[in-house]
Amino acid sequence: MKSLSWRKRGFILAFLAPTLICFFVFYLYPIVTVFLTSFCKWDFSNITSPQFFGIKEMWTNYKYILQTYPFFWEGLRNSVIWSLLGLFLQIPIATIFALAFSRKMKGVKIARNIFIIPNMISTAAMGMIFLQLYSPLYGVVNPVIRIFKKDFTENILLLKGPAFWALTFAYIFFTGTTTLMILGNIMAVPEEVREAAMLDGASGFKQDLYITIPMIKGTLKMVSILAATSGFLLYNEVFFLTKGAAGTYSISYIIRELAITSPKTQFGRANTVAVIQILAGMLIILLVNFIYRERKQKKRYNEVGEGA
Amino acid sequence: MKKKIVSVLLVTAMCVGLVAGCGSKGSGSGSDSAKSGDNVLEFYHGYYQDESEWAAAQVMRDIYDDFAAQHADGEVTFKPIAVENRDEIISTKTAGGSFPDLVDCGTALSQAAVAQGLVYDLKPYIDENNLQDAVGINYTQNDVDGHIYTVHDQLESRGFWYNEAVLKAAGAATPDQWTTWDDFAAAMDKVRASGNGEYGYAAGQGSMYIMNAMLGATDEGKALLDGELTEDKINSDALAEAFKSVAAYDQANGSDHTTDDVGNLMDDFNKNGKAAVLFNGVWNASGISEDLTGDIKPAIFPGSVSVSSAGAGLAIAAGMSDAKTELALEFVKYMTSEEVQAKIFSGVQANPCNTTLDLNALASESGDANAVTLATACSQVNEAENVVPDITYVWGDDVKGAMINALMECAVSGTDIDARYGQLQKELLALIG
Repeated sequence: MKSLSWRKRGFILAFLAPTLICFFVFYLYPIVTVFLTSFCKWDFSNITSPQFFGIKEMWTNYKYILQTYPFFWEGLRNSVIWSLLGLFLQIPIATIFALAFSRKMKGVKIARNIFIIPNMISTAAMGMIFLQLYSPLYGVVNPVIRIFKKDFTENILLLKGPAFWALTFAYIFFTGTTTLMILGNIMAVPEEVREAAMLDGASGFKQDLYITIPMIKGTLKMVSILAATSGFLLYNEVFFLTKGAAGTYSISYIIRELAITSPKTQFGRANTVAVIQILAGMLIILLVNFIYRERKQKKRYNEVGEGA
Repeated sequence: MKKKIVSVLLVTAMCVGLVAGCGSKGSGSGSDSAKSGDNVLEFYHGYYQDESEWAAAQVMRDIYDDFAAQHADGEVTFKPIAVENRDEIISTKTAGGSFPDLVDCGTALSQAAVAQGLVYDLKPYIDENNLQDAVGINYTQNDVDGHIYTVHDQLESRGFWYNEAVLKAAGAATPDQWTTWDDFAAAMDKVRASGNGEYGYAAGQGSMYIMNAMLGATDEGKALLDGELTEDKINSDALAEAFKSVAAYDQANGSDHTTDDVGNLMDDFNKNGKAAVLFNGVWNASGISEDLTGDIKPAIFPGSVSVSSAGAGLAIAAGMSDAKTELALEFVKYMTSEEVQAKIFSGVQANPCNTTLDLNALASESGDANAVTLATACSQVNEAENVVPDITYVWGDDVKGAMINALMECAVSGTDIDARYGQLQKELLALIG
């Protein structure tokens, strides 16, 4: 019996091994490396042998990034805003579209396909398309602005404030994948539940609010985490549209600047930003968990109960 | 039982495959193929484009293939490899402590590669073989503390281009009459005021070259371009004056004609005749449309200044076998030889590094109008009283990026240029820290 148990354990371990090895080699090891090297001098002068600053000086990179590096706070602020926009703008938009596409109406399939098509275009290509749209000479945005402001000739990608929103609009409405994930979950809501709700007098918007949305909360939570983190990690749009001009740096773009653009190949400092990025990413996940915490669900169900 | 054995074997195979796939980290320095002990000299270059897309790429590939054919019977095989991502290859290998056997670097050579001793010093070879004239400006500009790690067979040379018809129609003076940058500004004002629908120039990336040339016109400015950016240079009056002057020109020119990549607005100048001036290199000669050939002319910056950099170019890995190193050095000699340099001029339409060539004679021989224009542009640049290096290569890409962003933001009307310059100073001080 005992030997069988060992054999079983052996099988379990053997089948887990590839996953565990992948986890340690490709996930844990890089994270630990990023964390450790953030306390090291690691640049062009010692590219193959990062050097620990020592206990007294261990925060050197953090001091540089937080106190000296000129684009860090701007990048962090922008990335946090993009993350929140993902959460509070992108997800509601995707949910509304998913609810609309779940209706059994004529033409809904075509509308769904049309909605999805732009999501097949890479973010890089989309960046180039928006670069043309925003071109003050040939784009379509400036003529629209001129309807309201006759003499407007500026390049909106160079205006502080508008540039941030121009960059945001280049990605925020492309919610095809998220919409599909939500839609798939909506379709899985049992028809009997809807019918029961209809018999109780809940139809249309009420049914969506009190039946469908609470039942797909798990998926909404998951896509919220995805949207918030992808907003926080935004890179391509910054690279293709502004390269950080007019206050549009992002955390990911800063990492590139330090590690690749800088002739000093500042891997240590780049990893310091990466550590902050990882910690902020964890905070975002906590925030999403807080928003979708169980208490609210119970309250909603109670409201439904009262409504019924 | 059989199933279990098969399962165990499969899992073991997966684990072994995975571990083997991860590979082991190389140690020590030198080239990759040196470790494998083969006799192939791998040469990475960036001329991957199809001939129909860019004919010059085929010319360069033919030059490389000729060299391979000439040494086909040798101990070492020369193998040119066209790639899109040569600089990524260099940085990835450098981060791992190795370097490609031979590579035509697209951007400035990584300081990390030099610091690790991964790159071969070409200076002794150049001196022993009297190749100073053949490598031209590489000999002085690419000298790093008495070592030369890269030789670029073609130079990144910039004056600028102007449309004579646009300037004349606006009643503006042409560049041959400009002695200072104020003359340039006055001409641009006239173009804007003409109401012909044309504009001055594509600012942004182009503005960097105005600033570069403006610094090159004075001794104080030239001193700033000598070596990396320092705190004193950032706080100097010369830099402040140059930046603020260019920013003022750009603001008058308008943010609608501002881009971080001059390629975005190049057609306005080369094909549509909508811009008066284009700040682009000598190679722009081949991009001018036929109907504008008579109007578009090259010039150098006011104060007889040109911006010319050897850039990066050919770099050889240190630590290869003698035979491979010898062939790589032979290749550098071949690429800077008069024969190949003439092909680079006429076929690639670039400014060759070899100073012994008579470009005007070569152009006349070819009978090609573009070649004649190119020769004029190259001669002007090469013979300028003040030939200064490109800011990108002396101060780095991050500094250049910060400066371009600052200049582009200043192009927006109403931007406080003094305040933006103050912010830029802080950014630059942090970047050099």
